[in-house]
Amino acid sequence: MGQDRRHDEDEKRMTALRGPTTVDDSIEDAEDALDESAVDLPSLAGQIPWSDEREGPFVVALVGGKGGVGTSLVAANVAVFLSRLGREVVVADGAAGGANLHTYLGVEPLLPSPASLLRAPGPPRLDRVPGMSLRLCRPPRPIGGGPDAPARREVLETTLGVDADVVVLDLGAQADPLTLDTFLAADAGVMVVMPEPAGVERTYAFLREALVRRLVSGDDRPAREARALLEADEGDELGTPSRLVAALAAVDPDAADAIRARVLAFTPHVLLNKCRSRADTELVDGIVSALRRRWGVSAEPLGALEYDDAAWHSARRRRPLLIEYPGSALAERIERMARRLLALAVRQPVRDERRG
Amino acid sequence: MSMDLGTSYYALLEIDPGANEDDIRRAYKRLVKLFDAEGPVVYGLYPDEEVETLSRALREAYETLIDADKRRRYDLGLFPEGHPSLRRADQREAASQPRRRPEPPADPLAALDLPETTPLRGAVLLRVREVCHLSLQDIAERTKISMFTLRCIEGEHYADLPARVYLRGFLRQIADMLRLDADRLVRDYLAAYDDWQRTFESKSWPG
Repeated sequence: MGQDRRHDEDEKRMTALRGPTTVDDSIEDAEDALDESAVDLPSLAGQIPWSDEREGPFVVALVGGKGGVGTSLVAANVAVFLSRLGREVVVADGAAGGANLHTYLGVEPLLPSPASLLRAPGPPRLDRVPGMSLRLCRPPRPIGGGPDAPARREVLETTLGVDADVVVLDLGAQADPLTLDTFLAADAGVMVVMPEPAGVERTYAFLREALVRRLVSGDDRPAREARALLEADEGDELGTPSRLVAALAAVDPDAADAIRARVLAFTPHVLLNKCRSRADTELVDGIVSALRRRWGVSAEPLGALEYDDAAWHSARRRRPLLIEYPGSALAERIERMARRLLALAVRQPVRDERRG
Repeated sequence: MSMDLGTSYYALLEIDPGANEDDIRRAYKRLVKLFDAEGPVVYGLYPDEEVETLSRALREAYETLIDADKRRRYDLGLFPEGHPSLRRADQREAASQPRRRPEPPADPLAALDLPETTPLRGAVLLRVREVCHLSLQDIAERTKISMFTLRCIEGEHYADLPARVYLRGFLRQIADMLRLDADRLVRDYLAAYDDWQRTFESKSWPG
């Protein structure tokens, strides 16, 4: 009895958060409403400035420190919010092995026949999300294979080739070369982190690989010399970028300056998800501070999203959180975070100069 | 690069050189909590021995900056010509100090060169206040009389003044601040007030 009452109270609370697009509780009605309700929310077009001088889309790449941190939920809802601003948005499902972004967007799953599994997979699918200026690019089969599977690369390449204002890439939780390069090339690389040791450790591991790749990949002189120094460092003496720069300065000061500039231009964004306490939310500043102290990397804190049952409920209903529960605290936080990302798009010329 | 954070205690504690004791204490407490060896922030980024080194550096920075003498000596070494933000802090401190006023005259009425028989009423109070370099705000802060009442007293807006018994008390407080003869101010001002009161009553309740 007590359990039933709790369930009822929970349902009432979630209904209150649901806002204007209320849907009947029965699964059948919810499914019927999928195609109709997405257009109910008012457009926010014109509320946020947009630089029309931009060439090509603004690319946001999201990587999870580890599996299950909520990268897909965040990617889907950031894409929904940006499309509500009147931008043409494409979101890519680039998570290796288990593409499920469609579930968070209310798009039908792919159901390949047994016979089709015996044929070549074909090109990626590009589906429009009903009622929005938002398209989903995904592999033609739900299980796309490992990180380096051609299908995954094709999804990312197809997405980046689409004519759009904003591209959101859900890169999953792996640190393979394709993911690292895509993350580094994005206008905003976002690490989604859970506030617990394993998640934070995996985040550092990913960023470490990304930073090293940024410093030593390429065929220019600074990269070659830095790579040579690291390859000769059998005692792991060059454990931080500052030591690498110092060692490089002794042999080639110009190369050392170039490597230092690359470290400073590496500005990943850190987003904490599923925070359950104030101490959890404060962790984002701790991570940013630690990266600056240890590696000299100017990571940017993108915010902290609190744990919210609304995420779970919206996933159960297979609809975007921002549409199903627009009044929830989590939806508001995601919107705020997406606005910060958009601010980057507007001031992009400055970033471009810095990179050069 | 910012790996050289250790070169400045301020950078190490992530505070401005103009930070006060509370800022320093708060920053240290926050960083000790964040960079706890058992916490998630350092896990996977710092080797154990470097966590200990960082912890010692934070403690050293805190103990130096929280001690006024040690901090002064440290600042002299760090900013021989004074750090801009420290100078700004000095300016803020100077701005927060009470403004030095010119000493009011011992006999303000004599300074105004008014005839002995001039009744002390609103207009005279205004001139005396000005010669004493006091604002209405100054009087309000000292006496706790509201600005509205003070304006009414100086403007002789009798209808808006409080009851006579309160007015008498206010006038005595004002006389004390303006170095006036309190009995004379009360007598002159209340005489005018009573005149107005009589006129007001005769108009309101004729007969």
